Amino acid sequence: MTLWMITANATDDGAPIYLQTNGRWTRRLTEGLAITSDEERARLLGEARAMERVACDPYPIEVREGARGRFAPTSLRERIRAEGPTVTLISAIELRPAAASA
Amino acid sequence: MYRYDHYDQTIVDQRVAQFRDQVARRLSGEIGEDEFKPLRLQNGLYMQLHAYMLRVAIPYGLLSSTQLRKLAEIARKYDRGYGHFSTRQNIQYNWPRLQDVPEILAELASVEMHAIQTSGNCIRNTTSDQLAGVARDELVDPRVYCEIIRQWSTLHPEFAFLPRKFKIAVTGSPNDRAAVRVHDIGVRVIPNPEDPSEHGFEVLVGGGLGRTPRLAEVCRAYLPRAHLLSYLEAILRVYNRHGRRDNKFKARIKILVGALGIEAFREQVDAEWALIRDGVMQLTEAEFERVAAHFTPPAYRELEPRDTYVAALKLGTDRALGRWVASNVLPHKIPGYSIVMISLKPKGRPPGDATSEQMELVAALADQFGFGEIVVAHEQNLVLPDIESERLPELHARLTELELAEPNIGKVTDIIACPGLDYCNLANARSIPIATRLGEHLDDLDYVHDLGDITLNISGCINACGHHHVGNIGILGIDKQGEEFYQLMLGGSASDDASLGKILGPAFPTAEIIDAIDTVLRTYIDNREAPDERFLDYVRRAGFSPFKERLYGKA
Repeated sequence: MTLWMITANATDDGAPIYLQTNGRWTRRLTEGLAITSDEERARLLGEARAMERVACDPYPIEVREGARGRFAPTSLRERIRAEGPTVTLISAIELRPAAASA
Repeated sequence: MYRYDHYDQTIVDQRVAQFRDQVARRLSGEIGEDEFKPLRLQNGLYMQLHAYMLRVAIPYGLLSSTQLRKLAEIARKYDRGYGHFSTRQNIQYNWPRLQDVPEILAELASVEMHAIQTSGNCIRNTTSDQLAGVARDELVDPRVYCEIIRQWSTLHPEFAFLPRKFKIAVTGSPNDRAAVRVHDIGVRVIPNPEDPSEHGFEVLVGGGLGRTPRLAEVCRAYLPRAHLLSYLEAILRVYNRHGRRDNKFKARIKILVGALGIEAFREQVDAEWALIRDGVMQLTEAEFERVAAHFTPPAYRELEPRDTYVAALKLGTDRALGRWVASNVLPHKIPGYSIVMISLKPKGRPPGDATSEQMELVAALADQFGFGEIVVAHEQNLVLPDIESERLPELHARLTELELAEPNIGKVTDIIACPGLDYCNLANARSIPIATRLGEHLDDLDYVHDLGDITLNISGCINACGHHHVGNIGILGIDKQGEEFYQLMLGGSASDDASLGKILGPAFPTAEIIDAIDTVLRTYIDNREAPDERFLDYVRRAGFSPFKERLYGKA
């Protein structure tokens, strides 16, 4: 059975957000609402689109249920989107004075 | 450098106020994303995977130390403490909040900067040679013409909605460091064939990369300088009229030039040009001088030539300094001065990224060692253009404080890479991890220097923001059934001998791409005729067979 989730980017800072129940959004994919039917997916996508003040360009993504019932995206793109860049930000690295002299 | 006049400042200030209102209406819900998107894009604000991305224009890559400090401050205050210098000589912030963007633009405006025309189907930032104004081989400082083009193209009402984005590059040297043949229009300053005391332009048109790479062709062999703007306008009009608006992937001018053929395209341009060439767009001597006055040389000291001293540094006992001088220091047109390239590709770091602290250090060094100017190179590095050669060791020591003295300019680890799937909404595969892994793999600096000059470019998708087609080694990330694969291309060049690389063979999975590149490099080392046979020359001489044999087991 294919599982879906509705995602968008938050209007205020562009962060990925995921639709929960009762029209709420979460920034954690693991807390998003998994959708099991095409009808539900279409209905919730329509509801998400109506919330454009807080959510930009909603779309459905495919997810799967992993260990301990936690949902994860099936595509690499959505995994990176949910978890952040796979490289360490340069501002988070302690720059080494001796590096150039190696 | 150019300083804003009342008109420039008014345009930028008004745009800040306008966008502040638009953002407020978006946040309040008065306008939705469909309405807001074209407005934010006109101000360089994209939506990427994790956040908004703000692209700030750096006209022809030239920055004052004050401007660079402001860019550092913005990164620290409104972003995550770093910026990404792009192949378009711009800077990008990857994490701004929407509500902060008007304030960021206001801060930029306070130092004569903006984000106008860094997105959308308009004429983008005009790019140029990063050595403009200081190169020994330069005929004329191209920045004067870049600035004239900037003023003409900024908010040009006729070209606000072109079929697609439009990029112009200008070089004033016979050795092309601005990649003019892969731009929509490439402008080369050349001597007048009939009177070498005058100069004008060779105008090339129809170059570009992306999914349909194409080298620009000569549209006009010699254009008197008075006609620069009218001729550019004629080209833009023909493109605006006939460019494909029905298909985004066929909308660039290169497709139009390819479809018509350069002769037919030229005829149309000439017909359009005949209507406007002698009109108000003629570049008068007074107008040229008005702009040129901003690009007068700084107060250089009268120094003895120090080329011998610089050569001795390369061979000195301090090997770190020697390597750095050999690869990162270039001859200056003024005796006693040198040009210093600052690599933003230290081992294991994302190419083109710089922290606020690094930017502030470079700004301070530009003031202390130069004349307060910094240039962004399209290779995603920085340039300190005016350094007294005697002070090179002192400068080198200061740069090492924050990993800014990597001695790899022009070497295989001086990798051009797009942000790729780590940031970009369009990407299919990651670019940065390939660059950082390769940098860590090639950790023997003697080997890297022995390889000589090699360009290696990585793009995370066919849109080719990493210019993979013109890398001596090009890497294109692709998606194969949900897995990242990388195609290897060889033989590209963006320089005078411009050529488009060709695919070597089947793509490699992520786990194998570094070894594949290593094999390519070792094939070259093992087979080159002499140490001074460049990688590109070897590829052109030997073809792909030696590489295929080692990589795929067959020629």
